[in-house]
Amino acid sequence: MQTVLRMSAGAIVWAIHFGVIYGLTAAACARNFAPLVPWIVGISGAVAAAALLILMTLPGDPAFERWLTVGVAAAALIAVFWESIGAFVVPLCD
Amino acid sequence: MHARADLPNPLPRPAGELEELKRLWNPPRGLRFVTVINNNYIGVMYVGTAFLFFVLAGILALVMRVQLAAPANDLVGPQLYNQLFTMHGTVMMFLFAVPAVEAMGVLLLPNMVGARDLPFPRLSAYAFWAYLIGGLVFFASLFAGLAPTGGWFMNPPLTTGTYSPGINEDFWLLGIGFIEISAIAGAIEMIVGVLRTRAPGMTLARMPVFAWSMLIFAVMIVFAFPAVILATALLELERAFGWPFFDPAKGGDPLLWQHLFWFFGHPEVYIIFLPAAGMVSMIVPAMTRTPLAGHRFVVLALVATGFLSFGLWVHHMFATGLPHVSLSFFQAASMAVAIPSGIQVFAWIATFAKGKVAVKTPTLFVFGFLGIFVLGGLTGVMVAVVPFDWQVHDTYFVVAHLHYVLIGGMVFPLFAAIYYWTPYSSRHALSERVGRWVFGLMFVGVNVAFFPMHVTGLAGMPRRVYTYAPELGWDGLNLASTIGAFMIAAGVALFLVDFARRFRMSAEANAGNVWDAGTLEWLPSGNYSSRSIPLVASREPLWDQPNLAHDVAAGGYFLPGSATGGRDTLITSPVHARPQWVLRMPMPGWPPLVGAWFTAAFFLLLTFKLVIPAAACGAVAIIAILRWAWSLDPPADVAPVSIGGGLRLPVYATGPRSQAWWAMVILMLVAASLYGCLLFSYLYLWLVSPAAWPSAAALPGIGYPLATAACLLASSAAVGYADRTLRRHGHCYPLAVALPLAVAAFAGSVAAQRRLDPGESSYGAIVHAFLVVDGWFVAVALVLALFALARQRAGLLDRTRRVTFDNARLFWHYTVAQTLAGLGMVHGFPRLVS
Repeated sequence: MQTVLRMSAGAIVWAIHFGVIYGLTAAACARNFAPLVPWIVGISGAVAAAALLILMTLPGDPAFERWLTVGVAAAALIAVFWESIGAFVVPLCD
Repeated sequence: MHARADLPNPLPRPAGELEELKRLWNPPRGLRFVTVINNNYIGVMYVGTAFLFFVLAGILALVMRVQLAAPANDLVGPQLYNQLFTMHGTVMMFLFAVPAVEAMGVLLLPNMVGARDLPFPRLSAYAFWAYLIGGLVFFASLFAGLAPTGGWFMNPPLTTGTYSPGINEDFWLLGIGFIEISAIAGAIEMIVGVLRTRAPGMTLARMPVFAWSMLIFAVMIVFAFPAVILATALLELERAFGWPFFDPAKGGDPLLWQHLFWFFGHPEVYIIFLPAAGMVSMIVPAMTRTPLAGHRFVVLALVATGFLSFGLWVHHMFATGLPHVSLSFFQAASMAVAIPSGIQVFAWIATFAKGKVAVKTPTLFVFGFLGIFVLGGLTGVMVAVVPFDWQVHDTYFVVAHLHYVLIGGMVFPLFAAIYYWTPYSSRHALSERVGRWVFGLMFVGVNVAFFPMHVTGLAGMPRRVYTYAPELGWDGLNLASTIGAFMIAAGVALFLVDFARRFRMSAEANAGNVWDAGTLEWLPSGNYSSRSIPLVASREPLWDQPNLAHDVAAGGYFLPGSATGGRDTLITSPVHARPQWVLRMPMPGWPPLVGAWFTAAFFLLLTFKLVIPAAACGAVAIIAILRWAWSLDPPADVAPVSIGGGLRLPVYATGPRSQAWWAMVILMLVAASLYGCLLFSYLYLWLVSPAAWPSAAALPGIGYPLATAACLLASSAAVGYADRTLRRHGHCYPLAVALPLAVAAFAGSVAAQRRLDPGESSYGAIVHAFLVVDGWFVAVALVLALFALARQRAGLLDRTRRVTFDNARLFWHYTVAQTLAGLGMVHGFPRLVS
């Protein structure tokens, strides 16, 4: 169970990050706190990236499961980065 | 046969062992055949039923295409056309695509992972019968003019009682909600089957890619489908009782439906695609006689697609006026998901490049899949770009895109799979010569039908119009699409003729490994799957272990006969697939069948507002399911049995080793997903209509939630104490104390809201939705606890034979935690924000 959870951890971090940035930015836009949006996205992106990097460096065994854990975390890291860019380049709450 | 001692079980095997195995796994004869639960029979019937719905929905598409072949056509009026496109989309998505891939899992997975059957075969039978009956009645609504008309995504306000009176939309809401429950049952079966019943040695690294894809498919169902179940429940509550979740005049919001529906609806596309990709990843290596290129990356791509697909739902809502920054997250995720799909495409192409390709019908369908799906994927990236999506939203461009994705990504792989695996289930393979015609007609037909739709859409033709004016210039393109649709139909008809001629179901005298494939489903088999359960040492064991097929068929590997005197299979550890214990499997019986029939009747009668007959059917269904459950936990005081290789394994397990524990944990994840969607709905409605929320002073006194929480926690403590008494003294009677505490807790929740009218505002509606859901969970927890107490009373539960109690305990604690979260939201959140 622990190995299965560890392999899923990257996806779980991504899901939490995605939920946080979508939920909080929607709330910020609805309640006229637009200037907070880049901060929300930036901070949550940094926290998620740190969690994923830690996950990628944790020791593990056997080789395939370890590879998959790192691979899923790396995919999640790329997705976190890619999804965060929008908050810094598009009009925020228009 | 020469004596062999180098295998887990020495050869030759004792006389009568194989005959006993055959006798135990034979399906019932005569009328009792309908109670069959073997995966090979249920799987074939499941695939056949899904194909029936494919044909029926295809016929609806042909009627629509005839209507659109010429401008100002009057073959079909607008009302019927609305029913046709709604039923076409709904049947294709809910009654064909998801059940078809789930059915392929039921049919193939046990043999592919080296199990005798799926771990809960009666659940498979229940899911199949519920789907068959529910689906047929749902389809028949068309002939009575009662079919839904709101499109396959049923957006309110069009589908609310105001704009869609009558019961047409109720058919969709209750019928589809019910069929989704059947899909969830199947998903739980798949997850436990893949993780706990693999052959010894089949580590995760050696697991077939199809098993990986079915595992991810099932996990996605667990998290995605509860959203649509909640959505259908909320819309039905609004239609039946006027609770205004989606009515802006009372603080509701139609977009809440779209959020919930597409949180299910977009992953649904990948729920369909991933198993299809898994099938392709099995077919390509067999057809090239070489292992899959980039196996690890393909598995990673499946996992990445699975989780990224949950970040795409708003790309169906780009035109709804959400903030740009929100759209940007979903645009990015929509583009990112193309990468793992691309990885798989490159892996298949590389496998073709490195192997020697046998150009048979399955290969042709895989080629067709690659071409059509890649084109659909490219237009997918186009519509993921927000400004482009705004231009083509609700036009035929989107129709073209989704058909390229779904036909390319699911239908072609399914045909490839049917041609590829027919020799596994039938005495004869399908005809190669006819297969090439089928492929040719379908491939050309799909492109003739759907490619012009890109242009029709860019020219401005909207979706779901029953006709168009001649001067718009769309007639030539539409005529071409109609000709293409009939070419597809001709291909499918030819396939059906060939199938009727050649398919003769047989597990024991099947055509066998005609492709010289390397995976376990091609072992010699019978109704019992393979004679013995192999020790797996690679991903393609039939290629790498030369005598494996012979030795398995001779009974030289594990569990060559019945170890327990009945049906049984090996349970192995989830990661390393080490043998842990022997699971006694059930025999066929009537309760799952009766349960499924009457569950279907309950939902369908409810659609017609026939409450009393519906309640009677519901009662029969509950009795049948309880009768079924009564036999679930067999005696524990049975001596360990030998499976070969010097291994003596127990035949009973509790806790995380038990398959029931895994099923319950997955069920709790389903419940958590549903409750998470409910919490989201509450927050969403508050966000869009804060004025509907009361001030802190207007809320019920804090004493109510505190007393409710105290009762809930006390009930959990009582259940915990019952666990202790069961371990120490062999009884769980303190469980009886928990029952009134739970009832009191729920009564407290209801009493707190007694002055709140659910029809007055979205706040009242959502708070009452919490009460409904909490009440449902408390009721189920009570039934489970009473069931455990009844088994204790009957002498069927003690300190070792305790799976029934463990399941009740897990569910009880979960219900308490969930209800506390709901209390915090309903009573704490308004105080916090006001």
